[in-house]
Amino acid sequence: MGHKQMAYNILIIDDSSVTRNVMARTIRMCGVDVGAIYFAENGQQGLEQLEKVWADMVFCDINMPVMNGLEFVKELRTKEEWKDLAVVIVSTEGSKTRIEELEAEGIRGYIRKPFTSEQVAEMINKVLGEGAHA
Amino acid sequence: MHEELETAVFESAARVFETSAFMSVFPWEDGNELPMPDIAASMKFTGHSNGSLTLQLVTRVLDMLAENMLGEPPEGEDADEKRQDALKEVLNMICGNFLTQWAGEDPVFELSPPSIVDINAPITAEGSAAPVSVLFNLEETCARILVSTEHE
Repeated sequence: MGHKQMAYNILIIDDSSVTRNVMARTIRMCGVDVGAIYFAENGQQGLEQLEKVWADMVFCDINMPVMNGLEFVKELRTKEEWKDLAVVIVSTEGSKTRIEELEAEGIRGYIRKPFTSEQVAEMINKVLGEGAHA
Repeated sequence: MHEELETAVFESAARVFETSAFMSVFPWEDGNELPMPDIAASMKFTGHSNGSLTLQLVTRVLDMLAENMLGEPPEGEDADEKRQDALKEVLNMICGNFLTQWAGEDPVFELSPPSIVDINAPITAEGSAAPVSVLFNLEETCARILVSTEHE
Protein backbone atom coordinates (compact mmCIF):
# COMPACT_ATOMS: atom_id res chain seq x y z
CA MET A 1 0.00 0.00 0.00
CA GLY A 2 1.23 3.51 -0.70
CA HIS A 3 2.22 5.85 2.09
CA LYS A 4 1.18 9.48 1.75
CA GLN A 5 3.68 11.90 3.23
CA MET A 6 2.01 14.49 5.42
CA ALA A 7 2.20 18.10 4.22
CA TYR A 8 4.40 20.29 6.36
CA ASN A 9 3.53 23.75 7.64
CA ILE A 10 6.41 26.20 7.66
CA LEU A 11 6.92 29.56 9.37
CA ILE A 12 9.30 32.08 7.75
CA ILE A 13 10.67 34.88 9.94
CA ASP A 14 12.60 37.70 8.23
CA ASP A 15 12.35 41.48 8.28
CA SER A 16 12.84 41.63 4.49
CA SER A 17 9.62 41.15 2.52
CA VAL A 18 11.71 40.17 -0.49
CA THR A 19 13.43 37.40 1.44
CA ARG A 20 10.14 36.12 2.84
CA ASN A 21 8.75 35.91 -0.70
CA VAL A 22 11.90 34.35 -2.12
CA MET A 23 12.01 31.82 0.70
CA ALA A 24 8.35 30.88 0.24
CA ARG A 25 8.77 30.50 -3.50
CA THR A 26 11.91 28.41 -3.02
CA ILE A 27 10.20 26.17 -0.51
CA ARG A 28 7.23 25.57 -2.84
CA MET A 29 9.61 24.78 -5.73
CA CYS A 30 11.88 22.39 -3.87
CA GLY A 31 9.70 19.30 -4.21
CA VAL A 32 8.78 18.89 -0.55
CA ASP A 33 5.11 18.43 0.30
CA VAL A 34 4.38 21.82 1.84
CA GLY A 35 1.02 22.72 3.36
CA ALA A 36 0.68 26.24 4.73
CA ILE A 37 3.47 28.82 4.81
CA TYR A 38 3.21 31.51 7.47
CA PHE A 39 5.19 34.73 7.75
CA ALA A 40 6.54 37.03 10.43
CA GLU A 41 8.73 40.14 10.29
CA ASN A 42 10.64 39.51 13.51
CA GLY A 43 10.98 37.07 16.37
CA GLN A 44 8.17 38.64 18.38
CA GLN A 45 5.72 38.30 15.49
CA GLY A 46 7.01 34.76 15.02
CA LEU A 47 6.02 33.87 18.57
CA GLU A 48 2.61 35.48 18.04
CA GLN A 49 2.11 33.39 14.92
CA LEU A 50 2.99 30.20 16.76
CA GLU A 51 0.32 31.01 19.33
CA LYS A 52 -2.22 30.86 16.50
CA VAL A 53 -0.98 28.30 13.97
CA TRP A 54 0.81 24.96 13.82
CA ALA A 55 4.26 24.93 12.25
CA ASP A 56 6.48 21.90 11.73
CA MET A 57 9.53 23.96 11.01
CA VAL A 58 10.77 27.54 11.21
CA PHE A 59 13.18 29.34 8.91
CA CYS A 60 14.49 32.37 10.76
CA ASP A 61 16.87 35.25 10.06
CA ILE A 62 19.30 36.50 12.70
CA ASN A 63 19.41 40.28 12.34
CA MET A 64 15.88 41.64 12.82
CA PRO A 65 14.45 44.56 14.79
CA VAL A 66 12.22 44.12 17.86
CA MET A 67 13.39 40.51 18.48
CA ASN A 68 16.33 38.98 16.61
CA GLY A 69 16.86 35.34 15.69
CA LEU A 70 18.92 34.40 18.74
CA GLU A 71 16.41 36.01 21.11
CA PHE A 72 13.59 34.20 19.30
CA VAL A 73 15.26 30.80 19.65
CA LYS A 74 16.03 31.39 23.32
CA GLU A 75 12.44 32.42 23.99
CA LEU A 76 11.16 29.38 22.11
CA ARG A 77 13.17 27.02 24.32
CA THR A 78 11.52 28.38 27.46
CA LYS A 79 8.09 27.15 26.33
CA GLU A 80 7.32 23.46 26.79
CA GLU A 81 5.12 23.29 23.67
CA TRP A 82 7.82 24.75 21.43
CA LYS A 83 11.08 23.61 22.97
CA ASP A 84 11.59 20.94 20.31
CA LEU A 85 10.31 22.96 17.34
CA ALA A 86 12.78 22.68 14.47
CA VAL A 87 14.42 26.02 13.71
CA VAL A 88 16.79 26.60 10.79
CA ILE A 89 18.63 29.88 10.62
CA VAL A 90 18.86 31.62 7.23
CA SER A 91 21.27 34.52 7.30
CA THR A 92 24.06 36.42 5.63
CA GLU A 93 26.13 35.96 8.80
CA GLY A 94 29.15 33.72 8.55
CA SER A 95 30.65 34.16 12.00
CA LYS A 96 31.57 30.86 13.66
CA THR A 97 30.96 32.39 17.06
CA ARG A 98 27.40 33.41 16.16
CA ILE A 99 26.63 30.02 14.63
CA GLU A 100 27.98 28.17 17.67
CA GLU A 101 25.88 30.38 19.92
CA LEU A 102 22.80 29.40 17.95
CA GLU A 103 23.72 25.73 17.83
CA ALA A 104 24.00 25.78 21.61
CA GLU A 105 20.35 26.88 21.64
CA GLY A 106 19.41 23.82 19.61
CA ILE A 107 18.92 25.05 16.05
CA ARG A 108 18.70 22.20 13.54
CA GLY A 109 20.62 23.84 10.74
CA TYR A 110 22.06 26.94 9.16
CA ILE A 111 21.78 28.20 5.58
CA ARG A 112 23.87 31.11 4.30
CA LYS A 113 22.24 33.63 1.97
CA PRO A 114 22.15 33.56 -1.00
CA PHE A 115 20.62 30.08 -0.95
CA THR A 116 19.55 27.68 -3.68
CA SER A 117 16.38 25.63 -3.80
CA GLU A 118 18.53 22.50 -3.50
CA GLN A 119 19.94 23.70 -0.19
CA VAL A 120 16.46 24.42 1.13
CA ALA A 121 15.11 21.03 -0.01
CA GLU A 122 18.07 19.22 1.53
CA MET A 123 17.57 21.06 4.81
CA ILE A 124 13.82 20.40 4.96
CA ASN A 125 14.34 16.70 4.24
CA LYS A 126 17.17 16.47 6.76
CA VAL A 127 15.26 18.22 9.53
CA LEU A 128 11.77 16.86 9.03
CA GLY A 129 13.06 13.45 8.06
CA GLU A 130 14.33 13.16 11.62
CA GLY A 131 10.74 13.44 12.87
CA ALA A 132 8.33 16.35 12.80
CA HIS A 133 7.55 18.47 15.85
CA ALA A 134 5.50 16.27 18.21
CA MET B 1 45.54 44.01 0.76
CA HIS B 2 43.64 46.43 -1.46
CA GLU B 3 43.46 43.75 -4.12
CA GLU B 4 42.14 41.18 -1.63
CA LEU B 5 39.39 43.55 -0.62
CA GLU B 6 38.42 44.27 -4.24
CA THR B 7 38.42 40.55 -5.06
CA ALA B 8 36.24 39.78 -2.05
CA VAL B 9 33.79 42.51 -3.06
CA PHE B 10 33.57 41.40 -6.68
CA GLU B 11 33.24 37.69 -5.89
CA SER B 12 30.58 38.35 -3.26
CA ALA B 13 28.60 40.50 -5.67
CA ALA B 14 28.84 37.87 -8.39
CA ARG B 15 27.76 35.10 -6.05
CA VAL B 16 24.77 37.04 -4.75
CA PHE B 17 23.49 38.39 -8.08
CA GLU B 18 23.92 35.07 -9.86
CA THR B 19 22.46 32.86 -7.12
CA SER B 20 19.61 35.01 -5.87
CA ALA B 21 18.64 36.88 -9.04
CA PHE B 22 20.13 34.88 -11.93
CA MET B 23 21.89 38.01 -13.20
CA SER B 24 25.22 37.99 -14.99
CA VAL B 25 28.19 39.76 -13.44
CA PHE B 26 31.45 40.41 -15.27
CA PRO B 27 34.59 42.34 -14.42
CA TRP B 28 34.61 45.95 -15.54
CA GLU B 29 36.64 46.66 -18.65
CA ASP B 30 38.22 50.03 -19.31
CA GLY B 31 36.51 51.69 -22.21
CA ASN B 32 33.09 50.24 -21.40
CA GLU B 33 30.35 52.62 -22.40
CA LEU B 34 27.44 51.37 -20.36
CA PRO B 35 24.63 53.12 -18.49
CA MET B 36 25.94 54.52 -15.23
CA PRO B 37 24.32 54.03 -11.78
CA ASP B 38 21.57 56.37 -10.67
CA ILE B 39 20.31 54.71 -7.49
CA ALA B 40 22.14 53.58 -4.36
CA ALA B 41 21.71 51.75 -1.07
CA SER B 42 24.12 51.75 1.85
CA MET B 43 24.68 49.94 5.11
CA LYS B 44 27.17 50.02 7.96
CA PHE B 45 29.01 47.27 9.76
CA THR B 46 30.69 47.36 13.15
CA GLY B 47 32.65 44.92 15.26
CA HIS B 48 35.98 43.43 14.24
CA SER B 49 36.26 46.41 11.89
CA ASN B 50 33.95 49.35 11.29
CA GLY B 51 32.88 50.48 7.87
CA SER B 52 30.18 50.74 5.24
CA LEU B 53 29.17 49.24 1.94
CA THR B 54 27.31 51.19 -0.73
CA LEU B 55 25.81 49.54 -3.81
CA GLN B 56 25.06 51.71 -6.84
CA LEU B 57 22.94 50.39 -9.72
CA VAL B 58 21.09 51.60 -12.79
CA THR B 59 17.39 51.98 -11.95
CA ARG B 60 16.18 49.90 -14.89
CA VAL B 61 18.15 46.92 -13.60
CA LEU B 62 16.00 46.98 -10.47
CA ASP B 63 12.99 45.74 -12.41
CA MET B 64 14.91 42.67 -13.49
CA LEU B 65 16.37 42.21 -10.02
CA ALA B 66 13.00 42.41 -8.28
CA GLU B 67 11.25 40.24 -10.87
CA ASN B 68 13.91 37.54 -10.73
CA MET B 69 13.94 37.47 -6.94
CA LEU B 70 10.19 37.60 -6.48
CA GLY B 71 9.22 35.47 -9.46
CA GLU B 72 6.93 38.16 -10.86
CA PRO B 73 7.28 41.75 -12.13
CA PRO B 74 7.03 44.42 -9.41
CA GLU B 75 3.61 45.91 -10.10
CA GLY B 76 0.94 47.79 -8.24
CA GLU B 77 1.08 50.61 -5.74
CA ASP B 78 4.04 49.13 -3.92
CA ALA B 79 6.12 48.39 -7.04
CA ASP B 80 8.78 50.98 -6.11
CA GLU B 81 8.94 49.61 -2.57
CA LYS B 82 9.48 46.09 -3.93
CA ARG B 83 12.30 47.30 -6.17
CA GLN B 84 13.98 49.12 -3.31
CA ASP B 85 13.52 46.15 -0.98
CA ALA B 86 15.22 43.94 -3.57
CA LEU B 87 18.13 46.39 -3.80
CA LYS B 88 18.51 46.54 -0.02
CA GLU B 89 18.34 42.78 0.38
CA VAL B 90 20.96 42.22 -2.31
CA LEU B 91 23.24 44.72 -0.56
CA ASN B 92 22.64 42.94 2.75
CA MET B 93 23.69 39.60 1.24
CA ILE B 94 26.72 41.09 -0.50
CA CYS B 95 27.87 42.71 2.73
CA GLY B 96 27.55 39.52 4.76
CA ASN B 97 29.35 37.45 2.14
CA PHE B 98 32.05 40.08 1.66
CA LEU B 99 32.82 40.36 5.38
CA THR B 100 33.16 36.59 5.76
CA GLN B 101 35.37 36.27 2.71
CA TRP B 102 37.52 39.28 3.60
CA ALA B 103 37.80 38.91 7.39
CA GLY B 104 37.26 35.16 7.82
CA GLU B 105 34.71 33.16 9.81
CA ASP B 106 35.98 34.04 13.27
CA PRO B 107 35.24 37.79 13.53
CA VAL B 108 31.76 38.89 14.56
CA PHE B 109 30.13 41.84 12.82
CA GLU B 110 26.93 43.73 13.51
CA LEU B 111 25.17 44.87 10.35
CA SER B 112 22.88 47.87 10.21
CA PRO B 113 19.70 47.64 8.13
CA PRO B 114 20.36 48.84 4.56
CA SER B 115 18.79 52.10 3.41
CA ILE B 116 18.33 53.92 0.13
CA VAL B 117 20.72 56.89 -0.10
CA ASP B 118 21.40 59.83 -2.38
CA ILE B 119 23.76 58.51 -5.05
CA ASN B 120 25.62 61.82 -5.08
CA ALA B 121 26.20 61.89 -1.32
CA PRO B 122 29.89 61.59 -0.41
CA ILE B 123 31.01 58.34 1.19
CA THR B 124 32.42 58.98 4.64
CA ALA B 125 35.87 57.47 5.01
CA GLU B 126 36.43 55.27 8.07
CA GLY B 127 39.76 55.96 9.69
CA SER B 128 42.52 57.01 7.33
CA ALA B 129 41.70 54.67 4.46
CA ALA B 130 39.93 56.19 1.47
CA PRO B 131 36.83 54.35 0.22
CA VAL B 132 37.55 51.60 -2.29
CA SER B 133 35.48 51.60 -5.46
CA VAL B 134 34.76 48.35 -7.33
CA LEU B 135 33.07 48.64 -10.71
CA PHE B 136 31.49 45.68 -12.48
CA ASN B 137 29.30 44.88 -15.44
CA LEU B 138 25.82 43.86 -14.31
CA GLU B 139 23.61 42.77 -17.20
CA GLU B 140 25.33 45.24 -19.52
CA THR B 141 25.05 48.17 -17.14
CA CYS B 142 27.61 49.69 -14.81
CA ALA B 143 27.31 48.78 -11.13
CA ARG B 144 29.56 49.99 -8.35
CA ILE B 145 30.27 48.96 -4.79
CA LEU B 146 32.03 51.42 -2.51
CA VAL B 147 33.69 50.02 0.58
CA SER B 148 34.86 52.17 3.41
CA THR B 149 36.66 50.42 6.24
CA GLU B 150 39.15 51.13 8.98
CA HIS B 151 41.45 48.38 7.77
CA GLU B 152 42.30 47.17 4.26
